[in-house]
Amino acid sequence: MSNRPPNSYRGAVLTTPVSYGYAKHSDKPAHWFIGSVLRELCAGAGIDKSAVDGAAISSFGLAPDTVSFLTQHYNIGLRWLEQLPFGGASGVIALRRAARAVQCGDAEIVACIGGDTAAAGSFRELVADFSSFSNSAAYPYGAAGPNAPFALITAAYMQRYGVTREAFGALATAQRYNAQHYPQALLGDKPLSLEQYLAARPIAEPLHLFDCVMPCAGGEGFLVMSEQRAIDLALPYVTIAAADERHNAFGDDPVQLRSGWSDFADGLYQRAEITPADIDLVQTYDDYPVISALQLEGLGLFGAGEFNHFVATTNTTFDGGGLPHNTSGGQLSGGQAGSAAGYLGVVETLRQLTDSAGANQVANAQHGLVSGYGMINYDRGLCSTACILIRGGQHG
Amino acid sequence: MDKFIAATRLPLADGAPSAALQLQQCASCNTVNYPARDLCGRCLADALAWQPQSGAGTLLASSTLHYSLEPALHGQLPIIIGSVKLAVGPVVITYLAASAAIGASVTVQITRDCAGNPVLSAQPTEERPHE
Repeated sequence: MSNRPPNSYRGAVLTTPVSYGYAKHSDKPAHWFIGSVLRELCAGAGIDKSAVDGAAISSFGLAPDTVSFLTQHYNIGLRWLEQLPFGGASGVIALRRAARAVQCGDAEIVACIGGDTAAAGSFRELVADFSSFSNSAAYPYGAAGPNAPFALITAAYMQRYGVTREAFGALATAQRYNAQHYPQALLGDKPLSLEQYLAARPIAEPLHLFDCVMPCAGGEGFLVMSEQRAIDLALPYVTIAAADERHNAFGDDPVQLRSGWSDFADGLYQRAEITPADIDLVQTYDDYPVISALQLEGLGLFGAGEFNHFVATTNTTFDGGGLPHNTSGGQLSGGQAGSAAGYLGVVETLRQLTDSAGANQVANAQHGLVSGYGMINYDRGLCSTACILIRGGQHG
Repeated sequence: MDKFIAATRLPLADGAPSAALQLQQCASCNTVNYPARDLCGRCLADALAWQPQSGAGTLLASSTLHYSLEPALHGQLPIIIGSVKLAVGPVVITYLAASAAIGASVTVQITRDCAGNPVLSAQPTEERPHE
């Protein structure tokens, strides 16, 4: 497979970050969250919904419907539509697909939305019938859901590199601090000290309570359009300096201690014409802290096996002067709203780079790195993505 | 109590409590496949059949589970599981009969879980002189 970086995304931009409706439980269906985000996107951009002619949508909770049916729910006419079933990789993949559609003239304004609900028992139902491999070869062994494969990955990573629970705790506690400055974060009202992190009850050792996300309901979305359209609409925007994705990268590795990031990172920075040292803030897909570590390592933010050293020398809070990471608290402190969690990092970076973040605003950030990871089929997540976003007007 | 049905697809004769390991093997390229597939994952031939396999493997990682989504398994907690790299190729997620260190030699066989489902189970391989 070629490692040549994808062609430039010049000319297509992201605007209008929306995070909506976060709740620990909801009796509303996914359709409600997705449609609410669409409404907020149109209101935020000052456009009628008839101006939206494309949509890229991700949800675990639409069945028996598909995104095709949503066009009738919301009474919209589109000329470009994608359903992206990539879980935590969906946001960056939506951005990639939508940007190409805009570049090629297949659509002018694309709404990219992830949304899901959290009814009683819905998480067990999702996990118990997630994939044919999981059903036959993972779930039967204790029915621990994603905690099981990630406990195994975490155990192997700790053993391989001598990583401590304290190191994972450093990421988790910094995210909780960030969440305390982001009103929609569902756990933002509960401080988390390293002592509390370490004393938490075991769930699937070596994972303990604060290594695991809380499933919740919510929606995330953004618009993709031409740079000229964003300027005409007077919308703050970010440009896409580079983006890439892999599926089942390094599939022969016995344990997933790396994924596609290691394969495409060089090309990503080459396309963006920057280095990892130029990254001002980073959002990883934090379904478990070890997966954030794999992303940060794979994307060159620290050297192989140097996670202990990274957290010992790098403040990852939004205002700590180091490398701000998961600046709205991520999923670990904000909640995992199904497929919306795959859009969270893009939306938060869009807020940050357009100075619309609020109390958790990072000062003077120009370059944001967003990483995605998704779809635990058996023993690992199969999708890995990343993009570099740049404050509008600073690139090309 | 709720019945726990685990559709592992593993072959185990009615009434048998356990059996030596069997996994799908491709008659075209000999690759051993797991999890169960519909075509060979290596050469895509429609030539898979369950065949006896060596259960010898190396423990990649283990976890002690303190929480299960299935009420029928709550009485079994804590449950020890592991991932094992089999000498014949695939990585299997398996029950682990006893804790063992990463890198330990283990042997995987087919047994039944508390609900009677055929499942994989690994135990540390007894140390003995090489034969």
